[in-house]
Amino acid sequence: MRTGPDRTALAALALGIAGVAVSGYLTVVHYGGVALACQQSSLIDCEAVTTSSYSLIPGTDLPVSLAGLAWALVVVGLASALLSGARGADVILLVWSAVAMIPVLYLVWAEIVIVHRICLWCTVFHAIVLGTLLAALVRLQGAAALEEQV
Amino acid sequence: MQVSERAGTRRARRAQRQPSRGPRPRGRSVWRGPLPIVAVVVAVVVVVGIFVAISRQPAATPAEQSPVVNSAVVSKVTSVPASVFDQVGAGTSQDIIHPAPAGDVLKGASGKPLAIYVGAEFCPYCASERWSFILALSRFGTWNGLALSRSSSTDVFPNTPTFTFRNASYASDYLELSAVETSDREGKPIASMTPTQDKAYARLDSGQSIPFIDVGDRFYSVGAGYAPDVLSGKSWDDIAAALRDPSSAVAKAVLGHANKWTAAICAVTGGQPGDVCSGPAVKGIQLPSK
Repeated sequence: MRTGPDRTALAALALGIAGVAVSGYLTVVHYGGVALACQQSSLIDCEAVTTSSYSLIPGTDLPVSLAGLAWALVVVGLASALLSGARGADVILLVWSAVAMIPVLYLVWAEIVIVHRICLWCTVFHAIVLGTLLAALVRLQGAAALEEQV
Repeated sequence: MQVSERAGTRRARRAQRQPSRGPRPRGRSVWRGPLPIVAVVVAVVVVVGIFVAISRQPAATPAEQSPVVNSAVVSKVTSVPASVFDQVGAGTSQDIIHPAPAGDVLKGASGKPLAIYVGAEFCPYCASERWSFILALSRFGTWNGLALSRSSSTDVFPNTPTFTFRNASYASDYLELSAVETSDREGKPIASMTPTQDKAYARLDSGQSIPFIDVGDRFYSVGAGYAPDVLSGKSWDDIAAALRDPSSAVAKAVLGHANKWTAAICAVTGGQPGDVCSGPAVKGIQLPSK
């Protein structure tokens, strides 16, 4: 019998896998020096964003997509743990995705205020982080509601 | 399946142990329902909305009224000690300087090697490239009439602080400069290329992009040696001060790229002047060969 909380774990797993794919692609593009598949317009310019200094982890030559890749891999691990019944993984997932919103909002600020261009791939990843946060929240709500019913 | 069944069994046991606990306090109901989800989404939308509002505010741009010559700033920028250049070396700049196809060194009317710059005032990449080019050339001669400017307020990396070559002149014992800003900050045409500039631009810049720099037809670049956002949010004075700190991000980008241009210029001046061209940073730079 599948219940609501299991569906949110599956959603988190799907979001984690999507995050690995997007951040992995951005990392490969960074190190491979190949052009990003991205349409360019007056607002959307992936290259302007991914070649700006905000595309690097401060004080390093490492792309922020590498940090995103590490984050998404952990999400995949946590979601797998939830599906296998591990206790406490839901709280860790909530904290992990909430903390990730800090750099996400910083990077959105850099895109909108500094670079004045939006990177679609980055936006997809930011949406994945937000989606994971909401999934973790819904899952904990479901667990809390179940506990209250008992 | 096992998860919910196990949890249900645990809860059932707990309920048996604590039958008299009764319903949980009403205050917990805030945690249930759509409120937390809506609150997170609304908070994100509000923050992004604030970012959009900030980005639409016009920047205070002293260069908006008319190009302003600020001799004090220019003097500060063009007098960075050689020791700082040497400490920075290649810095964090990208390798955008390419060797030109074989040929004689391009010379100006005076017989000295000729450097060409083609750019525009609206262009943010021209804005960042100018800093390095100005600093490199200042080691071989003297600038006059450099005015403060900013890149377009509506383009990528808006309002990047820089200078304009519009009314600037350059005097040197070692090379000549032929620079043109084809458009103003709003993109309106203000000047045309000379035949010499046009010929070099057409020959070396296949994509017809700016900024374009050609040093004696031996080395050329298209684009900027570092991203303009290194300069964003800073005043000219801030940048001038940061240029004297070899550990600053500004110095590593601007001076690192200036050292590469210095090495390229030294290659066409025959290593003159010696005190500049024999400096450790310049000697340590490996320019690409044909």
